[in-house]
Amino acid sequence: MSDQSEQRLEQLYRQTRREQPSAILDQHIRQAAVRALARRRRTWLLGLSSVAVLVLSVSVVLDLLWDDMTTLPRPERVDTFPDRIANDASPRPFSELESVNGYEDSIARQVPERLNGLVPSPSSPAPEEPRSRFAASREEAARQYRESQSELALAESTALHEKAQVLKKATESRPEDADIVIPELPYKLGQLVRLAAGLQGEQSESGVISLYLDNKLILSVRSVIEGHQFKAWQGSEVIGVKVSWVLTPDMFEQCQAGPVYLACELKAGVTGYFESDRLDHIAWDVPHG
Amino acid sequence: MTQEEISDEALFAAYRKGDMAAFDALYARLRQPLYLYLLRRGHAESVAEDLFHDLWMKVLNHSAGFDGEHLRAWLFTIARNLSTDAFRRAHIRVVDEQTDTANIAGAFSAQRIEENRDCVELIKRSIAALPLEQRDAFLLRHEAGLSLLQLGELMAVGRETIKSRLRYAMNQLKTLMADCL
Repeated sequence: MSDQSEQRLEQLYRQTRREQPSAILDQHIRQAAVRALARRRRTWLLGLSSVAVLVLSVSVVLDLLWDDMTTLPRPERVDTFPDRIANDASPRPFSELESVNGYEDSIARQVPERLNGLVPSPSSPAPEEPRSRFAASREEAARQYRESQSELALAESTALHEKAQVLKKATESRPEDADIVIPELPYKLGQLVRLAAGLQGEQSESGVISLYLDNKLILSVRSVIEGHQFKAWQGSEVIGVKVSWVLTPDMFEQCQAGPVYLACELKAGVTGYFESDRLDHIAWDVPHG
Repeated sequence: MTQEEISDEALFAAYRKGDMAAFDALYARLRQPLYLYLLRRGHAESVAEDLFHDLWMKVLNHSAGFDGEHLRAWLFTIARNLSTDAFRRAHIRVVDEQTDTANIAGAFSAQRIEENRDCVELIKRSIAALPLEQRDAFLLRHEAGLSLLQLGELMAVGRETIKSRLRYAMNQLKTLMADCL
């Protein structure tokens, strides 16, 4: 009896298994899988180019030793990257098809260019010091490679800081913007998604979501203990789509209660609320000027 | 060897080496179990879709975090954590152990239960009415196909505790579904 009833339960449960993810969701995930593969290939190529630089450095060292040269030529400093970013105050334009990882892609494209400055110049003048041992030369090449990686990391964090400073200055000039919340530094400039003409949004690793209009911060949302806090640029109107955090009864149009959840539709005209994790679900309408 | 015979782990490894067909096969195999797990755990359809999306983004962007063994356990662990976080963000209080299950069965008249359709609907609601830990054990057992040991590791409890939860879940379901069995 017990086995029969359990078998019946199993049979009934199998009959419930009808729901499936939507085709659009399937397609979206597949595209993300393709992009993830492409990113891995670029990372592998980047790693390969880095190794190639190191191998080249060591090879040049060996050549120098064989040619009776005694000191490693110092690689050129990579000092163009921070300047380039500092001068470029506006975010790079993104195509409409740019994915949420478009920013990472653009950074990856820049890297090989940056690394070119690490290759030792073969035309450096011959030093006059005594001949070095081969082991010391190899360690020196490795040390300089590590140093160059540190320089890259410093350059990246410098670039992020400078961009945030540019944005901060843009908002500090208006007294009525005292309520604008600027994301705290340091934070990772992660997903930069183009939402509409002139609008760009980003989400930091700490969950702070920021929206920019023409490079000016217009809205920032961050988590606080009691829910989410948002500040809006004076004169802007942000129309949210859904909300998944703290609610008050006066915001509901209708609610549906399940055994363990409460799903509510917001009233039309409620402003400043949106899903905290999915920027591509947000619809914005911000008046210009 | 056909793709049906290839393990989840082998498909995932093949995808990481660049084989998109392997990903397609793996995704086709796992999409419905993962989605149903999220749905039956108690989320609205739209939220379940969001969580399902987030789950795969984590899988694709953090595949290095997979140790190469027991892919399903890894995937369902991610799904469970995302689901729990979603409940917390929505400030949803988890239904406690003292669930009043009598009302659920009472909503269906004996006449309507003769139609199998209502029994199918009834079991869905009955599963939803289970305390979360029992529901979780039941869903993971049926959707993830994990062993008791793997279930225990995923839920951070011992094997005997898992067996108890599954037993209580089945007993509750039998009570609620008495007229359908």
